[in-house]
Amino acid sequence: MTLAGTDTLLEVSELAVRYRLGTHLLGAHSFRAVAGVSFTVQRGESLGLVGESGSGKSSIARALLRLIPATGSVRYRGQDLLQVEGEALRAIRERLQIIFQDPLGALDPRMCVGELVAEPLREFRPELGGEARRGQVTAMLARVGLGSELLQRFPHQLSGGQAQRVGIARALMLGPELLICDEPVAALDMSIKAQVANLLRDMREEFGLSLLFIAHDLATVRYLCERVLVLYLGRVMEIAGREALFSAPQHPYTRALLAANPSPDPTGLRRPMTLQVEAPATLDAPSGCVFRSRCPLAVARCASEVPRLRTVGASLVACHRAGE
Amino acid sequence: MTEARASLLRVRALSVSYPGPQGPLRALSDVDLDLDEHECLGVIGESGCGKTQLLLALLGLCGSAARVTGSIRYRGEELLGAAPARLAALRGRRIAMVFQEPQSALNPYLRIGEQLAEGARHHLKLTRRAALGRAAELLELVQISAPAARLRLYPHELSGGMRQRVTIAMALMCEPEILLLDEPTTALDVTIQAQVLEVLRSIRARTGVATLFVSHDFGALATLASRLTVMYAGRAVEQGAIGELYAAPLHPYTSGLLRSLPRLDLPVPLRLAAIPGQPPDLAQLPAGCAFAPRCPLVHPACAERPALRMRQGDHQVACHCELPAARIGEAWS
Repeated sequence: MTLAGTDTLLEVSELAVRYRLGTHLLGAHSFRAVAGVSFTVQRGESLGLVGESGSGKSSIARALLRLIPATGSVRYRGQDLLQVEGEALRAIRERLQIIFQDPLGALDPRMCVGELVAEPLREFRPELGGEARRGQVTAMLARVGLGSELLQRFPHQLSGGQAQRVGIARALMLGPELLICDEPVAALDMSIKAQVANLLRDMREEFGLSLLFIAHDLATVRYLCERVLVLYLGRVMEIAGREALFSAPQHPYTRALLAANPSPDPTGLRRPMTLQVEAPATLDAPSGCVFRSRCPLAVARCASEVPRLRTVGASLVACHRAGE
Repeated sequence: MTEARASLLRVRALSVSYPGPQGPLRALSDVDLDLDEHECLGVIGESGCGKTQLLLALLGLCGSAARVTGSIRYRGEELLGAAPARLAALRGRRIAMVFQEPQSALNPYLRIGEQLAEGARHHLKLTRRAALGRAAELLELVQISAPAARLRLYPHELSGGMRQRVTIAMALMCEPEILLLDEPTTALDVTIQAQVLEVLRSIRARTGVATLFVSHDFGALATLASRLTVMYAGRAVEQGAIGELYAAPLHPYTSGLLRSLPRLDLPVPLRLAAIPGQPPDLAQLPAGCAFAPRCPLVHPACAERPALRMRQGDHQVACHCELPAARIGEAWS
């Protein structure tokens, strides 16, 4: 994944996030939420980051935005995101935006919709007059499907779907290149999920956005992303194009995830497949391959040697037994 | 739905409303449903559709501010307006519930053995030792290994999936006849959700406990339920055998929801068929069909509220539309 061609927007290598849990006599106690994760996002591409709780997907999003400390390198247009400071960092933040899972929690409860959507402009385009700013705010609200009657409303007066649209409007206000979406539809109601998924798809086309789409819902990822990265306990298990990942998954964990997804099949006969064991706590991930304690294919080698990403079929996969 | 069928639980015209600043908030309106012995009835709907209110009403837990009307008969006995002592004797004994969030359903200060044993000691008058013995058996039933040792653990020492299996075991301690499941897998990861659904399926196969399974996940419901009720804005809008309902939904809302789901077993669509708008404010429900403002097949007749009526066999729908399922589906594309 180091083919840093001219079209590579983001190149993440060996990203690691460690959380400190406290100190004791023998030194600091910490655990690795993300360990040696590498991937790229091409211009205009939508990459899905899939995994269950504790897989490190939200930590990756937060690390990319410098909201938490991380090691490794994150090259964005040739600059290392993890090193830049001051004005350079501020300039990058303009181009890199995020929308969150809890749409209400992400909005300041004391600001009305008009102020919330205008805030990025006030911050980054102070030269704009009030008139021009209001015009841009109304136009952006209309693009995300919100009427101007909402301008004076406060977050608590919005539905979940409306609040998420406000979050999307805020994120798009400065014309970003890369939008990080951290579970943007997970907390929404059934009939609203599809609206927001469609909106993201439209906005992506209209603004030529690249997406880093983080989700646990495989079906939504399949709808929105051309490439998918599967994470487990902070490690990359598999990276593949949409077709390959969903029709010929190579990693036993990817297969387990796909099989566990219950389908609204009218025959009602398709029972989801289950993994016998629960995921270990992130704090005591097994040696070797982190998935081996739940893996139906695990052998002795899986305990002693960490599998490296290698090409099997159309996937990059971290499994000793893939392709056998 | 024939009157002759002897229902374990028979709910008629159940309504729940709460006083609000803009008039009563109608959380549940005129819901009818029957739960037969051993069957699993699914209830699906979005937030505010009344699905949790339905479960709370069945347990007599709506609170003193609520106005609850209609009828809830358990084996012919009217529960609405029954003495609190009678309801307390039924709750946990004959009718037990599993909640969405296992961590808030468990007491963090008590070992899970004590929590499991509590209901059986109270209702069945078992000794502590006998109740703990039964607790260990039930942990085994929900596929928790080394059950005797687990009894000594506190909730925080268990994973989320294991905690939910503990609350399921707890609900089953007194061998209830009716198990109420309120989104038991929503808070869980997908591989853990599959485990919990498998546990529920095997328990139902073994004990035959009648189950009311409330969820917003069509996929999870398909693994357990044989019949389904679809709720919208406090009303049951469609009811029928789950296979038929999925294959040929007759309410535009059900049809739209099923079409809006991204699915792994179908080709990637160019666009999801999203239902426009949002569910109505329960304090300001329209006089006619509550779904009409979002419905592609809206018709002047929709100004009058459609009653739930039989369309085909056991398949009921609350909609004036007479079109076949395929034509209703086309309206969304």
